[in-house]
Amino acid sequence: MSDPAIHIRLDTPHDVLRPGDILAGAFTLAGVTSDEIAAVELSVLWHTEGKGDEDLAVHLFKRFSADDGPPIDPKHPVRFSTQLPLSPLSYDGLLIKIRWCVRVRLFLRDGQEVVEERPLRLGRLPRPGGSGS
Amino acid sequence: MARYFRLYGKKRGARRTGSRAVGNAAVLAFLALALVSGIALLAWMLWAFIIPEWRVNVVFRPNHCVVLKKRLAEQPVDGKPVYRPEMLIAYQVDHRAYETWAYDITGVFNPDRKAVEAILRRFTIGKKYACWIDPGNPERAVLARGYSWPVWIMLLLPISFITIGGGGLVYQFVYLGKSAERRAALTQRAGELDPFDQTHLAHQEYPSVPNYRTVMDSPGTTLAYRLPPVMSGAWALMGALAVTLATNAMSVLFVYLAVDGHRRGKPDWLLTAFTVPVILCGIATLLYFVRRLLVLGSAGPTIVEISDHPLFPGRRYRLYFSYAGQVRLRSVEIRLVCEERATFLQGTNSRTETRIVYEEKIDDRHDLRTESGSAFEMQCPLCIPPGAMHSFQSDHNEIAWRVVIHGDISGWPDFERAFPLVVCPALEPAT
Repeated sequence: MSDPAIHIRLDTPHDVLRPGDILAGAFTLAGVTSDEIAAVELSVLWHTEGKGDEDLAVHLFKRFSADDGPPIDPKHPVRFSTQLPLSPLSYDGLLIKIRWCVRVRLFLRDGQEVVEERPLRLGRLPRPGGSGS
Repeated sequence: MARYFRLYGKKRGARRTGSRAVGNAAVLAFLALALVSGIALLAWMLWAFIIPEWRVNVVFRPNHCVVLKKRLAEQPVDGKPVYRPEMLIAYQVDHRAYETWAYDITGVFNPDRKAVEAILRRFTIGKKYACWIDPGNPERAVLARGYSWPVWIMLLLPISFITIGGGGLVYQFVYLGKSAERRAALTQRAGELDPFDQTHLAHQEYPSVPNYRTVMDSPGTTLAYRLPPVMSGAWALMGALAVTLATNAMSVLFVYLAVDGHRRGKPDWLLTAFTVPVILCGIATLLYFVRRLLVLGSAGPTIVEISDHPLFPGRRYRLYFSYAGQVRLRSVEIRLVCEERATFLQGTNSRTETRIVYEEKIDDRHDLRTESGSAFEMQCPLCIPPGAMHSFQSDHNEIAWRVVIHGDISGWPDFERAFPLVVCPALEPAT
């Protein structure tokens, strides 16, 4: 059997969304059976990159646990939808960068974790200094 | 591309950072040890001091006794003797006679022999004294009551251990084994439940934008809102005061030693020669401090008001500036500045690096003439450039906008004051 994999698909054709837009999509799991899955976490989040220590905040967080709910069927796509907030906007600064993404984390019963990200941009800010990004 | 999480820490050069599981186990063991030690220490202090003293003061019954004998009890601790006073007392409870050696309930020994002897001298053999009897065990009596306040202060030690160990364990059990996203979600939810933290009200509208409502609580007299200044000048003044005190204290010490040597007829010429530059250094720092103090006093108050708040990129605002210092303002320059601040751990130190990403001169005025006793006032337009990043604040990263006033006052060093602004994201219509 192949390695466990996560596929994230967004409904929008492009990765740049405006504040207040609806972000919708779905994720599917591959290479695992229902019995092997302990939990799956879906997050729409931003995090910082750059000189400073990383900060992270979740806008949407959902946890699907096989122990607390029905077994997770990997063949069945899990849909998600959320209205994006007004801030923080995606940013490419000199010391600070703010990245938005959809992140899915798969916890397997044998202790393994698999994580997949789908980056997106919130807003269309140019890079400071006018060089653009 | 999916990726697995490593069982071992990230490799840095030729070494690995170690296993996270082992690290977590070590932290748990340390916290559990701190908690157990704190509980054990607290239990011992309660058993040995707190409860016995409380019982003597609240439960023991007053009585009278006669001192039959007295002695200085002695025992070695770490090779050195320690002492306590002991009196053989006779008393009656319910028509039954008792004799026992007594003083206080804790039985603590004291290394200060003279202090213990002084206690013994207060008691005369054959005289009558007040005593307190344990109602549950009449053979137990004391001649001294009260509380040992050092013991109560020492309670801070086990309480600190219990707080650190217990709090740390609760934190670890809540967050251990949870993903970064789940921890962030739990933390955010806890912050929203805090009844004393009102910042989340602003965050609900513009998450991670600093709370702009604090500025809106301060209305202006000319324009809508008065901006609060950043108190950077006060910290510089405190630093100058500390240096001034240190150098002048050193000057006084050196002068005393040098003069004392001359007075006793044994002059130390090397010390005397070294004292002169130390005195000059003390005078220089004192003059610098007085100058800064005068600048801070003469340059204020400086008022900045704005026509609206929070600000949005691409919109135009009015800015009002007022200067009412004692010393004449020769020129003023007003700048709009946006700065990134990144805080990071370097070894065990927390460092903050700043970088200005936008700076614009809004206005400047020269050869200013104001009538004596009247304030200098001016207004100018202010525009946050379209496409500018909004104010942003998280635990370790910040993007901060501010208005900076740079003033040149007659005969004094220039002064600079900063007034923070909150810029919200430009309103774009949702698709």
